[in-house]
Amino acid sequence: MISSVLFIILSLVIIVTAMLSLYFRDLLASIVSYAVMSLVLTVVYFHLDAPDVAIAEAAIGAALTISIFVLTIKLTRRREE
Amino acid sequence: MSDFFLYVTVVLLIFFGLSAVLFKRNLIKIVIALNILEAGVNLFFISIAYRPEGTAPIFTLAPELEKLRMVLPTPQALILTNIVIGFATTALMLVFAVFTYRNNGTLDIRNLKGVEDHD
Amino acid sequence: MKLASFLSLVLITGFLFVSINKLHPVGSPMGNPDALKDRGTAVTDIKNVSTMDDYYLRNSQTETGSNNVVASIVFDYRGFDTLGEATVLFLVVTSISMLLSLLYKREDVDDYEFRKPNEFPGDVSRIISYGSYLLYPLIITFGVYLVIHGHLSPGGGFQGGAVMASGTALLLVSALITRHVHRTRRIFSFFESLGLTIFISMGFAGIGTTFLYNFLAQGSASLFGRAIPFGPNPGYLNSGGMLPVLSFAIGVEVFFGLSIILVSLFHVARHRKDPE
Repeated sequence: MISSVLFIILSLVIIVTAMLSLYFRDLLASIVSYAVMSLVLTVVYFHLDAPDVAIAEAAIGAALTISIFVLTIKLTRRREE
Repeated sequence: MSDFFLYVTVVLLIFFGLSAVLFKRNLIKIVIALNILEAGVNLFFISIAYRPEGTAPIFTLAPELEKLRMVLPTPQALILTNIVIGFATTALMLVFAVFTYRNNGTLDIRNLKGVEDHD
Repeated sequence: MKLASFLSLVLITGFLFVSINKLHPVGSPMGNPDALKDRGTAVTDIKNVSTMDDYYLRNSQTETGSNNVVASIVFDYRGFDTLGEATVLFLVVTSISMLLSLLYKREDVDDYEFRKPNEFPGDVSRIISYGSYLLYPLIITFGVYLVIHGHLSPGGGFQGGAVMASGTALLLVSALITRHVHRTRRIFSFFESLGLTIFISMGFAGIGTTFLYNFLAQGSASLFGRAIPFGPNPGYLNSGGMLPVLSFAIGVEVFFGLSIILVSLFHVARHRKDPE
């Protein structure tokens, strides 16, 4: 009972942050929202008894992907359109 | 219904990612949407391998043999390499976005022209 | 045009919603949940084993000698897929490095040296400079720990390599860089190729039976050949056969490959003005 309530709350946070990251016009804000989604996804992977996948998602989705995106935004524009 | 909630999350993530690929105009937004699509597919694989009374598939300091039930290990092994490949693909797409901006001055996909010929 | 794509999107999502009713509910996949209980002492036991995952859960510890079932699937039972993945990563790193070298200019030379925390330029805050100076060795140690203990605890080559590459990202963000940072590319690409070469050579070393055969598994008199009985145990480092060697090779390749991507992109981005 507790675990399914936990899964429902975390899944709602994932969906909301994914929607927000596609809604913002400032690209830096959408990248930060994507990083929050990746972090909550790591917690969901841990509660689904997959520690290997959780470590990989934490290191790659939350640390490396956003540094690549920030470097790209520095080379192009920051605001959409 | 609460049994299927993880699957509903997967379908919603795929829907948002696919709709942003079809309807957004900025190239970097499209790359972010492809990443969200990939996160949805990874979550699907991990959630079909779950047993509520099970533990992680590791024998070091595991509970004793009478109470030992494990989740399925094969989808986790497939998703492990998929995450690293997803990062490499994203990096290559972003390098193409940098070159597109240098050649066209904009990242709007409606206003792109071809690359000049360098002889 | 937009109407057609919207209708196809609704159709695809409708199909997905219909098909999740046909799946099993979350929490009861196929297979025998009591596959680990009544097991003999043979090396391979296939009594009452009906699916592939039951076979892996029951027999991977005694056949390969490692405690981590996921790592034994990635490096031993499905090692060929890992070779394909390492090749894809190598290809992507090569093409990114080749494309971004078109944007370098000869006169963009970094003139910083490796700094102590009290010599940083004025625009880097104290918290970032001191914190990164203290945090970087811990990150590298944690990554090396994950790579070496891949067959005992959650970890392995991919996770350890990714954690060490995030240490490189910390180095670039906090201005702890060395002189001529673009020249590190040559050393990094040598070590990345070395990692992939070690993986392929270990695959060919057991070619008497098959490619990527675990010839150092338990029973053989080698460094990683300790015999592991079935069941929970505290974990012994000299077990696992070929798994620690392959894990080390993949960790080296992933770390240096991802670092090449970060350093190349950073060097191009360094000499541009900030966007509006």
